[in-house]
Amino acid sequence: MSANPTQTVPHVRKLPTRSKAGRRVIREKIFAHTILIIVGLLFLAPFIWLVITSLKTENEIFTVPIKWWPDELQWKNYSDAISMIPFVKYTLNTILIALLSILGVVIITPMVAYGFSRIDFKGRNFLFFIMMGTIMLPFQVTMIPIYVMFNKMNLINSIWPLVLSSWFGTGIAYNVFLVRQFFMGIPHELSESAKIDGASEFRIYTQIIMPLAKPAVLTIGLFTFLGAWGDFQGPLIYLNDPEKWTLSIGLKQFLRENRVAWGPLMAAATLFTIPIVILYFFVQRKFIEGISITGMK
Amino acid sequence: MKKSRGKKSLILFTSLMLVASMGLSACSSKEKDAASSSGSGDAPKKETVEIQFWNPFETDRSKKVEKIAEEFNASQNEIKVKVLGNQDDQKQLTAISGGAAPDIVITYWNKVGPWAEAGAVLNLDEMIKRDNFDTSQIIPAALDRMKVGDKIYGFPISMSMANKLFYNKKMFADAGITAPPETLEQMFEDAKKLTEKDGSGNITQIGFIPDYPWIDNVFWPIIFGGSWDDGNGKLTANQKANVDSIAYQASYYKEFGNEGIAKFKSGMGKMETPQDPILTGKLGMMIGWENWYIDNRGENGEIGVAPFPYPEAQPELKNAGMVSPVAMFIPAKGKHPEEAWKFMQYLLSEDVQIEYAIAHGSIPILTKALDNPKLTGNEKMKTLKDFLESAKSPNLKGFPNSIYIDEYLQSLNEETEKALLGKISPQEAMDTVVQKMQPIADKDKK
Amino acid sequence: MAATTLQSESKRRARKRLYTGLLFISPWLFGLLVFQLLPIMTSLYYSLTDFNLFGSPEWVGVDNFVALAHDKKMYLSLYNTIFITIFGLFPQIAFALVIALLLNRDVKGKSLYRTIYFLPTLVPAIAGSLLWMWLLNAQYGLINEVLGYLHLPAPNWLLDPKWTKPSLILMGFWGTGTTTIMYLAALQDVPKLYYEAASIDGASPWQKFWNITFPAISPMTLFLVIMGLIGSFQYFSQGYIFADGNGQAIGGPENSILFYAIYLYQTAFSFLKMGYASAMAWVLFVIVFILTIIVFKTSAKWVYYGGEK
Repeated sequence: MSANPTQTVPHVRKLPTRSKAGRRVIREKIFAHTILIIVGLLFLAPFIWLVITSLKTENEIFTVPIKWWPDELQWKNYSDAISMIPFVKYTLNTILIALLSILGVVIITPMVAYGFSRIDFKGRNFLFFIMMGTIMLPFQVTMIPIYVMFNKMNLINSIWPLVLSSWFGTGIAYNVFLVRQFFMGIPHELSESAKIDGASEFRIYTQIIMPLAKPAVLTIGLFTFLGAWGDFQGPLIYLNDPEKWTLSIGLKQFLRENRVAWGPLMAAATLFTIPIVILYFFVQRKFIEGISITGMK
Repeated sequence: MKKSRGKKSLILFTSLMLVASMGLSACSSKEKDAASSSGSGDAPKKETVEIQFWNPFETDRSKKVEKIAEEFNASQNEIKVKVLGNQDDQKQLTAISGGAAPDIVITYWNKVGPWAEAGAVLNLDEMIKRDNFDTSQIIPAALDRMKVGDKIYGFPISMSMANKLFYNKKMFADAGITAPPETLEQMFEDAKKLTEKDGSGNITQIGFIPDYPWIDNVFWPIIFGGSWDDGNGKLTANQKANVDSIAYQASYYKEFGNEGIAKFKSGMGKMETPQDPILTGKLGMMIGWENWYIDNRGENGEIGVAPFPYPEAQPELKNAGMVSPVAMFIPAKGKHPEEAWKFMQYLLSEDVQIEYAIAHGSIPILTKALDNPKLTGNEKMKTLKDFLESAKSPNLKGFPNSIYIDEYLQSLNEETEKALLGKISPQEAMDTVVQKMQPIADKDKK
Repeated sequence: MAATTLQSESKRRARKRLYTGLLFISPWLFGLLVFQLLPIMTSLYYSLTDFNLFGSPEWVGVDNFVALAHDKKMYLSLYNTIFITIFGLFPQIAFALVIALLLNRDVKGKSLYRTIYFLPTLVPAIAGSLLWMWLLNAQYGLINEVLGYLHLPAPNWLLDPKWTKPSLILMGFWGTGTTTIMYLAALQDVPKLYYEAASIDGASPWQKFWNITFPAISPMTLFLVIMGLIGSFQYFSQGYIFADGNGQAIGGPENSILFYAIYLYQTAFSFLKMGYASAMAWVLFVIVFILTIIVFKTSAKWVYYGGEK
């Protein structure tokens, strides 16, 4: 994928007279960088602020005017944060829920999206609108009926309501719709020629479309992970046992009723965020090229 | 044709697989539950009943509840109490409504009334009568918050109250005020003395902000001897006392200016941080709750404590204040109401009440405990002394229970907000509330 | 004879397509039937009842809907919701597209920018909102500090009812990373050949954008607009945490951030009127459904799928 631009760029550059175009390219690049850097700093600032705040004393956090850098880095906030809640256990619990959710989502979603985009069957649009309709009802009114249902299945106080909701809950519509948009973009000639060769839909799906869909699958996988990581309401409602709690519930521990422990709260929020930043850092390349799946220019 | 039939059976197969896998997971979690509940009982005696005791507190505070439950568990072997913290009211409501109610629950006072009227809370009258439990030993204002009509649906486990005036000692001295104000009228005058402006008219320090840290629709009418209903379903929020209480608050806005207060407020530090306005000498006075500024209220602390002022014309309202108890109740659909009731009685016994109050830095709800040297002599309770004493005051009150309590409070809040800024008159504000809420109250009455 | 076999042949094929299609979407159908349908239908039933969450629902017919039509607070919350949809959602999508277009140029440090722009969406809602209330604090917030430095007026972001919604919208821009990344991905798919051909024809950058880029990424735009609409009409967490964390009542100053879903939540769980709340939910459903259908219908005019026959 990235091979293409490098092939074409020199070719384009050669076309007009070098100096004029070269200057224009440079000017455009400076322009692009300037905007990206300014906006980028605006996007980065709050995060840096979070990290710096997590290293301040409470006095420094609230000093007027703003104190940009603490006199002494308060690593103690971090040890406090870690000792206040079982960080490792909650992290593992969160990861388990996230992984199980991802597993189902990446198997189910492309299949359903394929059905909704590349097989022209009667009633398809009708069913598609029903699917879209399911996410238009605010969760607040289905929350209790869903709880009742999981209670009848005897699944309260287990991770299954969370996992099953990610597989079969209304949220699936988001992923299916996203993957559908990409499947719609894959030229039909690809599957038509395979069909003429006698391939079944299932074979076309597994052998032609799925290899192309790998990046899209990675994308919904990552979104699912982020969703599971940040979910607070779900774990709180379904998990009673402190042994089973997740990090987001842990984070809430710092917001006490009378006195918020600001330093440790910010430290915990930083710790909460950093693992996913690292994860994102490692997958971002694939992830971005990722969502684009047709792979043919 | 053959092929599609094959597909059909494939659909069936897939669905069956999924159902089967779900069934399996259900079973396995059931087994786990069974294993954990039977395996954990270390007392081999006959049948120990395990009851679930939920509280909304964060882990640190929940551990204090846990300690008391452990002492109870050790004291007998019929009942084993399992404490779960972090169960906030949303979770409590979902679980109870969803059919997975715990056995006994700690929650905030304003949930008991609505949930009781909706049928979620066990009425305790029968058990109280049967076991001759003496309810007169409970501080009346706190117990009232657990009642709907005359029926008791829960008990307070501890109590919070607002009935003091906190003031910045240094600011008072600097302004030449020798004693804290006794009446609301004096308070207003003192507030003016304590307020300073800079050259361009910006407020640099202020004597008092009536809606700091929040608009309080319960506290203020109580100070003026107001009420919210007449006990027979007629709402009284627009009576003179209530309207006066809003007019009094609005007078501060009139005196110091809406814009000025808003601007000053936006620059105030967060409460109970080192930039807190009353600690840094930017705010002269505020409403005092027993659990605020514990570390700053001593002899050498920045904050002085006095009874909250009363209206000059009504000295009988001295020592008025608002109670806000933490409540406990037994869900109507709990599986072990008898055991829960036994444990509840344990929590209401004098020694446990004192232990709980000391652990949480709160006020016990038994009148007799207020004078118990075990409590008053405790080092930690010293700063609470004034509050413990005034917890006996007959002028303590609270907001009446009903199913529409939150809606009523919300409506009061919305209209008071407008009246404070002078957008409508206090009378108009309260008339609007009553107009809106009376039909809802009438509907509930039926 | 030949015609009928042809007909039955095409019927047979259609049926086969139907079965295959159903097979592919069967996991969703299973989820719909087993996990979704019952709760959805239950809420529809509640909307026709008086239900306090604990007792048994009492049938009241369309009473809830009639009362809703006269509920001033509902209209206010709907206004607030539409406000952030128009001034939040659409500018945010446009902003994300601009950033994605800039990032799509062959700029150095692409992956660093990508990470930075996505960073805020990784910060959990609780931490993110707290952080923002902090930044927007009128006195020691970073934003007013900067505005003061530039000699710009420093609004009372959190307490002035005029500024609370803009505060939330501002916060929303910070979270456009996902949208940017998705656009960026869609841009990878635009065939470079088209641009080359257009360059040779002497097309201006603006023409290239309208005639090549915009159509090519239109399926993504459709996705973002529809999901954005659905999400925006259910806007909840940020607004809720915002008021709560500020020591204000639900709805914020003068109910300026009382959004539809927040009012609905309050009605259901605080006022214990699940019947009324369910009616609210279904009204919202109808509004959003109609909007979605309209967007889909118009999409035939502006969305181009590479795979279309």
